[in-house]
Amino acid sequence: MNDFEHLYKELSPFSKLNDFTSEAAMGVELLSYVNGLHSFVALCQRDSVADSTIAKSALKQIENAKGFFKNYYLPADKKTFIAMISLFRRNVPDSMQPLYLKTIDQKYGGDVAKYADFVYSKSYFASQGNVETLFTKF
Amino acid sequence: MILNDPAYMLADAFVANFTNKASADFNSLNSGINLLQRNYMKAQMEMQSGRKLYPDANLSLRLAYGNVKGYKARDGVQFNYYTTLEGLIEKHAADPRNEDFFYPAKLGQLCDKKDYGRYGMNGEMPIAFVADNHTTGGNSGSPVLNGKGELIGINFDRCWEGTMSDIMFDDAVCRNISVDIRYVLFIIDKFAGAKNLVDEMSIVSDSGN
Repeated sequence: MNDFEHLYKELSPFSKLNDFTSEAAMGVELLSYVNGLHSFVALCQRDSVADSTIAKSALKQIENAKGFFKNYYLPADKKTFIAMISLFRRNVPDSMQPLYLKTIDQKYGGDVAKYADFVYSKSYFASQGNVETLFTKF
Repeated sequence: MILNDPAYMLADAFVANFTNKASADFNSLNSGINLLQRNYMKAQMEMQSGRKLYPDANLSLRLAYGNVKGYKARDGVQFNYYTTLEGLIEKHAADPRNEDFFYPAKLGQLCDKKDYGRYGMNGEMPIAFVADNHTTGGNSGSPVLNGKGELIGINFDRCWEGTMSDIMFDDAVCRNISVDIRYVLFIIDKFAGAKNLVDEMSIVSDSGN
């Protein structure tokens, strides 16, 4: 029982980061959607890969985008973004947060809503039209 | 273009952050805990050697089976196997303060016009039905299927006379209560106007049940 207690105590900070990463950060639909593009990016970055293989995978991305945007409502997702990123910043200790989040303090004076305006207006993946244009280029 | 996208960069930063700062420790500590669980279970089995220990059924599929049928609740009182929207409105008229029978005006209008679409049954709109499935707390929300595997309802309650079924199941009075899937579809389609959702489903009708 002591061993359990010891391990759970040690696990706690890592478990917390796991929960906040998967539930809060990836709870934002836009973020979990773009996170799903990792395999496509990895494919493009491989040394020897046929153009046709990439084109095929890009076509699949267009299909995925159709499924994703069918039930996507940006204003609600943006609200979720603001709430979830704020929760993450408040609850996860500084040392465990991604350095990249410092951008919010440096460029947006700590205002998550302003940062959200930037992400949702500049990201290519916030609009189905842009996503389709992007992937037809491959 | 993808790599410079602000949403992609942020998502990537979150994932890389977890991978770099936590995933190795997270995985090895969890394996350590799993190994300890083995010792813990072994100790339990030794300590209570005569006792039947149930396996952990979490995340496993469990089925109950039975027949749709009414029951005799008490002397002179026989309950039918289903209720209707017409009945709900009658109950409200007879007992106007009982919030169990409150309903939105729009629902009343649909009933007046008998505007049930394809979901009505012989001019009535079925709401709920009872069956002698042995259910327990936590089963609410379970799908109720007919013999062909078609979804016919959603389990949500037990009848009053059968609430002792966790201790003793009596098939004469123990009934689970399900909302009729036709009522669910009627509410989605006719009441809420979300026909787009119904259009995504494969609806089976006249299955002979």
